[in-house]
Amino acid sequence: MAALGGTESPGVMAAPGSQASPLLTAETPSALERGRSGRRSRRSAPAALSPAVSVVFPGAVSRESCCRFACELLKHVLHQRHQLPLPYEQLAYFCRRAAQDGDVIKKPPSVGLASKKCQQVLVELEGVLQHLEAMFSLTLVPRVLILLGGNAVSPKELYELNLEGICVGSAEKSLKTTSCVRKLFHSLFIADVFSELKALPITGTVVMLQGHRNCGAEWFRPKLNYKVPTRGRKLTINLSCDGDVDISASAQTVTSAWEDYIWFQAPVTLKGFHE
Amino acid sequence: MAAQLSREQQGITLRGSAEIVAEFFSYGINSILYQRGIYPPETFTRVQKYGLTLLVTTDPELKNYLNNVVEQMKEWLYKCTVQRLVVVISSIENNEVLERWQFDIECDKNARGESAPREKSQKAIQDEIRSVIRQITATVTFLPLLETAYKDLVVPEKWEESGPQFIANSEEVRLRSFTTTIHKVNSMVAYKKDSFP
Repeated sequence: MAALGGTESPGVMAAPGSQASPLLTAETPSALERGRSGRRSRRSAPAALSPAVSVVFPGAVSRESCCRFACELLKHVLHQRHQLPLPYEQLAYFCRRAAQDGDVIKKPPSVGLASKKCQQVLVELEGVLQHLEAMFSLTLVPRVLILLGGNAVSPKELYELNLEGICVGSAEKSLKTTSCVRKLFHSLFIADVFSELKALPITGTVVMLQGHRNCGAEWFRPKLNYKVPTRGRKLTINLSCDGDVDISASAQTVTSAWEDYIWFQAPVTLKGFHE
Repeated sequence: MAAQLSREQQGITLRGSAEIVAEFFSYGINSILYQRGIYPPETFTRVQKYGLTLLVTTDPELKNYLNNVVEQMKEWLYKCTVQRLVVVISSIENNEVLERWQFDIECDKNARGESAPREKSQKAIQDEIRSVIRQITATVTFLPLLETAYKDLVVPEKWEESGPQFIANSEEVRLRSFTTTIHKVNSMVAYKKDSFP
């Protein structure tokens, strides 16, 4: 990160209103994606270039961190894309307060933070977050997808968290989770990936992730034939590790049998709400 | 509502622009105070503005103080004399400046002599302001935790002379800007350089 002073022009940051950023690049689908299910895919028309944000951690990262990246990104996308009126933690606070004390802002029972809708959204989201945590404990997760609008095959927007380049280490030998999460969101902020997007109406959000086919997942449902959509607006967030990584850290990139990793889909579609 | 409709139809005047920018500072400062945990969350209430759910203080003293700030800003904006508004967050223990929100204001002084309003829709300005407010909220995801919140909630009484209150060894991020065509506001936040990996 650049340390700035005075009135100097920004270093590694996007100028306000600009379309481009040093951290925002365009990329084509990965080799993993093209070689889905262990077979080479047929040659097809080249996929459209999609913006990407890359974050490199100077050391190994724990599984807990990987889970946090996914969970925090989901919460962040839901708020930034207008599916939640407040960031998740703030929403949960006001929702609990409204349910206990009655909402200070008097609204019809069908809307507002004391509403059943708000409660339902929070319960469902909490469920997804808990199951994400369980999944990350069962298997390495090379990719997570957050799909907004449309359906899982044809969403309006797609946010892909690519963890293939992560070197997973033990908690003791890995970078601190909070620092890594802050670095991720600092990079997203600098890339300014949400400001130019038009407001989305309330829509459904589907979460998918890759895991080992034999990981024993019970809640997430396997989708053997799923392919990452190529239509719709897409942002890829590539996370990787560099620097002095402890050799005992198992690099996800070293994992040999990507063919054994399949897509799983959350069995609930998160539906946001407006206040 | 009638005044707003009139403004929408008639375009942006210097007076109207000053009101829009001052209003932004009101909501923006409230957002900073809430998002950075300077005051307890239970002292804030939700309002709808710019198509967003925003948090504003219910503390009477703080409300009064911020209203005075905003009214003064409105006057200075109308006169095109204010160049920068800075919100400084400093430690209660040792007055060390921890965080610094800087809003640079550019004013087109030609607007002072113009009779015809300038053409820019309220919606367009609102959309730009919304992006800035959203970014203020988003900064919470990476700014360092502030340990200084909630103690001795004493509200200052009046404007007084001050230095720039820069932060030693700082990082900065720039937020988006917005413009009414008469006033342009560029926002940034500086914070103590700390432990990103």
